[in-house]
Amino acid sequence: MSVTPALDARREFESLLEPVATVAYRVAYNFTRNAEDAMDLVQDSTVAAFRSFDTFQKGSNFRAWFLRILTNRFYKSRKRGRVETTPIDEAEDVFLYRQAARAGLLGNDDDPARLVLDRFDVEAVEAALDRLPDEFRDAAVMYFLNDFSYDQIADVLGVPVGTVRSRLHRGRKILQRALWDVAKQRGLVHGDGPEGAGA
Amino acid sequence: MGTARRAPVPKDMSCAEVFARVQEYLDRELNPDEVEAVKAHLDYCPPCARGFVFEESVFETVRLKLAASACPEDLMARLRECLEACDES
Ligand SMILES: [Zn+2]
Repeated sequence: MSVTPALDARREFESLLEPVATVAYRVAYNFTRNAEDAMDLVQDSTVAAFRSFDTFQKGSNFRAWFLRILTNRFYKSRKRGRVETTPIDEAEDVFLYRQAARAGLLGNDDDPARLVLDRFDVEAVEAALDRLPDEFRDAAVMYFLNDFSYDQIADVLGVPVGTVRSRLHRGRKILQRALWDVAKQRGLVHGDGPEGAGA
Repeated sequence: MGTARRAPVPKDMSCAEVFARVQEYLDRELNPDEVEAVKAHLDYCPPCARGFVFEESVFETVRLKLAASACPEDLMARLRECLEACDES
């Protein structure tokens, strides 16, 4: 006998895990803000998921199932620990667009947003995301790192879809302000005023 | 779908009302009536249309940047080790 049933299950689990491992790590990294903790969280979630693999419905969304387990484990660990982020003000609608226009950054480019965002490296975007208060950040992490519908995000985070809707709505506004603040702090853009606009 | 009901969409939306819905529009989370009302506004309001394009690009860029962040190359190998240890115990 060459393959035991246990080994079979492990191979099946691994084949489902492989395509989602990277995104799971990135979610974990944006949750924990630390490479070592992120690795611990993914490893711990992998073992937990494998142990309850018999509860996974074949053919359903493995990524969502796995990320739900990872999120729950993260929530458990966060209770003891994480420093509260300072709440930041919500921005007006299309804040970044207005700020970029005021700073004279838009020009006549076909894709002015890219012109602005190209000033950010990955780390600056992560720093901006990290400024979101926890509940907004969790929803934003799921939103930006996955091609999930609001329903799926609600399922993964264990909150009603209306809550996801409002957290994403506010979270994205806060994120725009945070992006602008980070850009200013790092000298990627200058000021809010029209000084760059040739006034 | 058990989506919580929100305020009904006014027929002729103001720029502010349109912008309050920009993300849900881009995420395809509005109902068909709402989509129609937003589209109708964008057709005759170039500033809003430009704002929508900008907004879409901002969040698409955020997505791309986050998807490019570092990840340990031996991630899957390490996870396999965990599973192996787990199987043996
Ligand atoms: Zn308008």
